[in-house]
Amino acid sequence: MKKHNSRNKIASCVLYLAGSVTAQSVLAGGLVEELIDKTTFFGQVRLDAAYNTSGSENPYNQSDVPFQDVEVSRQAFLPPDLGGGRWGDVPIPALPFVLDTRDTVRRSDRLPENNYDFTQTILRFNGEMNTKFTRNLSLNIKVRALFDPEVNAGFDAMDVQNDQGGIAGGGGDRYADTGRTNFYQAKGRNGKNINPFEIAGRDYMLDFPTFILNYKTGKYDFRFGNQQIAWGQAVFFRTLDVANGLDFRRHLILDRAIEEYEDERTPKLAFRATMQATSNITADAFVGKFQPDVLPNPNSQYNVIPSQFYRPLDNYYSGDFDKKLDFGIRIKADYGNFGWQAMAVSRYNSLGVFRWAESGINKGLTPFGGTVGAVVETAYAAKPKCSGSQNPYDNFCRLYDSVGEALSHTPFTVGPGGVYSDKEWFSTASSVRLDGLDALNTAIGDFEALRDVFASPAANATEAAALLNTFFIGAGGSIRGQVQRDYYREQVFGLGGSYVNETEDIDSFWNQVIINLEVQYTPERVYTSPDLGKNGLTSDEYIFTAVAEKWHRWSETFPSAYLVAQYMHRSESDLVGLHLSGYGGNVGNTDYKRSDGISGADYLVFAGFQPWPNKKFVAEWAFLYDIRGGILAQPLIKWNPGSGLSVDLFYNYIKSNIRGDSADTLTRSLDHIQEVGLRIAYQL
Amino acid sequence: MARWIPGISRRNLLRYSTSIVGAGVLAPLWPTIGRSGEIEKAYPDELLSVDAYTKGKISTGSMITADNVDAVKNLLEPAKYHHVKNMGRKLKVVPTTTDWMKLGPWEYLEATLRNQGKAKFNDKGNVVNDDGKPWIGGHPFPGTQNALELFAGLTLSWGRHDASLYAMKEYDVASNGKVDYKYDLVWAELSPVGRVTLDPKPYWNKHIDKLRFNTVVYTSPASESGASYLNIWDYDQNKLPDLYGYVPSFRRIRQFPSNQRFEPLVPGSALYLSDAWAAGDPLHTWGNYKVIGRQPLLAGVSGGWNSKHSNWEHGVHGGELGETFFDSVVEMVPETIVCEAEPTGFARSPVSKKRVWFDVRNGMPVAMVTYDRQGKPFRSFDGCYGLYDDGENKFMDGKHPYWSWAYLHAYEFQSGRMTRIEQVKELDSGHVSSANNDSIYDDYLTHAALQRLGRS
Repeated sequence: MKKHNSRNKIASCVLYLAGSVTAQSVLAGGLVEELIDKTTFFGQVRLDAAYNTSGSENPYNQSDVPFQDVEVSRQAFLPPDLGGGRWGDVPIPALPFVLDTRDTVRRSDRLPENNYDFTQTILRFNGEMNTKFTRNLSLNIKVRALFDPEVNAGFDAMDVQNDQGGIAGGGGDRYADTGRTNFYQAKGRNGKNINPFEIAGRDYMLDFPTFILNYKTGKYDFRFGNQQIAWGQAVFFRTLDVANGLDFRRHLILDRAIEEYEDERTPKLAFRATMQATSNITADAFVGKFQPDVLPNPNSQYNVIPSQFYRPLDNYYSGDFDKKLDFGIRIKADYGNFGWQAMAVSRYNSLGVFRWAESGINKGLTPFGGTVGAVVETAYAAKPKCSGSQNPYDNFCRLYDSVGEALSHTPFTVGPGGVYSDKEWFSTASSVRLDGLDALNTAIGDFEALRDVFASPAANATEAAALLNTFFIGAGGSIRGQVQRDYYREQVFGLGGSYVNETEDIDSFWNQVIINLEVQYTPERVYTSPDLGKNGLTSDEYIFTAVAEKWHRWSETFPSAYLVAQYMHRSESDLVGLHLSGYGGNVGNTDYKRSDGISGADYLVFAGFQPWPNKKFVAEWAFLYDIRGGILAQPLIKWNPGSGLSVDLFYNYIKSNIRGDSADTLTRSLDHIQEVGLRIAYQL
Repeated sequence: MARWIPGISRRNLLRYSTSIVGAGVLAPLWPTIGRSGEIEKAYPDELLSVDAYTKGKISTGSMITADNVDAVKNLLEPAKYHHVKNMGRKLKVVPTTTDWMKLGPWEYLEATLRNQGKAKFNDKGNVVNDDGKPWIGGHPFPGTQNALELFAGLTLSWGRHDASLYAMKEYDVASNGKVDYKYDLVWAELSPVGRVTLDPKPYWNKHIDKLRFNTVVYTSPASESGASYLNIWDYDQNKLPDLYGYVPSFRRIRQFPSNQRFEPLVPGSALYLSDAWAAGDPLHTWGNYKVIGRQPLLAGVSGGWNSKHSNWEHGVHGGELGETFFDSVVEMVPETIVCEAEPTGFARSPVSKKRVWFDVRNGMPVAMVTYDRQGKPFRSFDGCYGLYDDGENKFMDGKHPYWSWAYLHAYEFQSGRMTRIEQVKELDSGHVSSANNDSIYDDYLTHAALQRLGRS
């Protein structure tokens, strides 16, 4: 077939990116020329941009965490293990120029301001190559390459290297913590890319969302390679869509809603077999390498993990989870107006379970911690070394040679940009569905080195505040936290049914409404515990989703509008998989309130689009409403002027306090996001 | 006959035409075909040759252009006349096809002869064989003058093959003549009943309750690649087809409402599912079928295959940028029956009625105009069929040359947009045009196939 120069250019690009040989040598080879003749290439360049209109910054990033601009008083107390009674009973008196046991701290005085006017600026190339070797055998490769020109560069750890000794590395690959904001790399604690089909740097990434060999014969179809598998009929709600994890790096889940998770599903290396079992029934099965969710890095625009913590240490490789397999089967039947589907999947939950992690960073309190730090170091050194069966709980002895060494065996590290005050601690914990008091006590319980450095359980928030502020003062400012991520296998079962409603009156709005019901049941699913406990939280979960879709013509002039209304109930976790027992708590610059959880999560969606004649323009909308009072709204206008060009203009609006307690809503985590977005794509 | 001569007004022509009882002028058409396979004895020279009709103003082999189109104004449906008169379209005149066996696939035409007289409507209004079972193949009502029967015959078999796979290239042209959208797509249709070539015939018993499986899938550009629609037609023509589609962004198949048939499938396109073959919807979802007249017409029923191009692609011309029309051929179709029908099974359809010109010889539509709800011309369709045998080259379908359509134009009167589509040998994506290949069921016409064809 006739080939065009532009095709060859795209071919060069895709092959160059995909292969180990240069484009020139590829195109020079006769064999490859022949292959190219059997190959189609697509290329697209795209600009994705979003501008922050909210006036506030991401509260998980250094510039706008809770109590960022608020002066908070801190007082150091004599630890109970040093005879101080209960935490908070015995304040250590301050002596000017001698003992700095009381102060006020304002976070913003210690940290530079790094705001994001543009929450997204990405230039990307999407390439696709499809080679048909024979009628039955083909190869499909998709390349996604993107570059962030960094209109806003984000937080740079080097800017605080002179405070508290800077943000120290150690205990694992700290690629996202110790330098400039890293926008795209995603590594395990051993430094290996979590996605093996990816090359990424701090401002670019290149990966292969699809890299599959496809073989078909009759009613059978086999795919092997890196791929996405989407099951279920619900849009956006992932009731049966459990085969792949999600990659939240580029735009979280805030892309054009009607695209669902096209750019987010994390591809996995898998073998998939599809069979048209009967004319009505399709069977689909896969076995694939477990591939976890990819979370945004600290201080990146859509980060959702408090940057006072190091990026979670990912045990994907160190826990041998990269060698684990997911597998599943789905049967789907369609009988015109009726249909059903059933699935069973054995997989590792891709979100994983977060728990406190040993830091591995040997960094003591002096000289950053002033006199309090020095006193603690001295007191620690004064303890005799534990011997035999002695432990710091029951005996006045130490486990390690120094406080620094002891802290390296705890989840806490002295350094700037961490948590500076008790108030910040509680509010930050609550922002990620943790309970600050429980999490503190769990750390103390799980890491005996914390007892070793005079931490002891707090009975209530007041005691915890005393403990925390004592340590923060002793650290000379703030302490950074450490968590790690592990993964747990789960068996996911799903059932679904569909029905097309037909009315006698063809003009009735209810004619041809398509209804889908889907249920997921997962016994013994393991979640992150709100106290970051090492074993997570285990419970059975069911998820119910009802979907009603309608294509409706409002007029004779305009094509049908697509309307979809959905309802989802989740018994144990929220839409992103965090356990509901961590809901509640305090929000923003407020005092501690216990995270006492909510009993279930319920969401409503109304979305759709209205094309203009010829589809040159399409108006789209998506509303996600958390019935406890949160909303995500995305109006969008799409323009297809032709000649390979398309333009999307949209607005993302998230609010968490339409009614009720905003801490009980899903959108609380994201309600800093109000942005106008633009996407310009050109088909090569 | 005397009225079908130059100078008669269109209104008078149609009035005259509706008064005629049977097809054929000099002799009844269908018995003439049945006896000789030729149509010449049924029509006078004026209806078999544009030369005679125009008294030499336009001759076979010449071009109809803006300069001479008024000589054949009465032989063109309004859009085609407008294209030539005002938009620079040119029509090459080729000889009239008089050999009836060149007006369709050999096996279909044979079955039409073999099975004539056996078809009837059952109490649900569906065409059945004389034993009450689904139709057994070929046109059920050859030589009919009845609008419902003409549409019934067309609806039963669109492409006249048991199975067809069309590799297609679509070009959407703006009113300023610029091609602003291009698509590659595949159209697959397979009949489980009325089969004349594929075994088992005449029925694939497993699906004897179905009339047709039909898929359209876009393969290019990337933004639409993998988007597809699978229509599963019930044999009962009172029921709308089940409609499923692969939505690339969702990476999965979704069910669509079955009345979703008047929607542009892709940006820039002027085609609806309902437009397919001028009979894209089940027979009884339209109504008020009636014949409004008969006339000779200049239409493309042969010579459209461009064997000179390795991929059968056509040259283009006309419009402001010379890209609005395929290089087109027409010939004198001696008698068309002009029928109208109105949509009755759809809420707020943008179309109030369609007018279709059927070639009385084979019952195929050679032109269509649809009208909007205000009764204004909405869109027009014209194309070209023919044997893929031009004397120098031929493309075979089993023992005989392939017969199919070659290209079509869909024009929007009100916006001036043109969608033109051509059947090509092969798409870059490897999809190859073919007929009567029953593997297309597994390859294109199942949910598993949609999944495979979809974006991975």
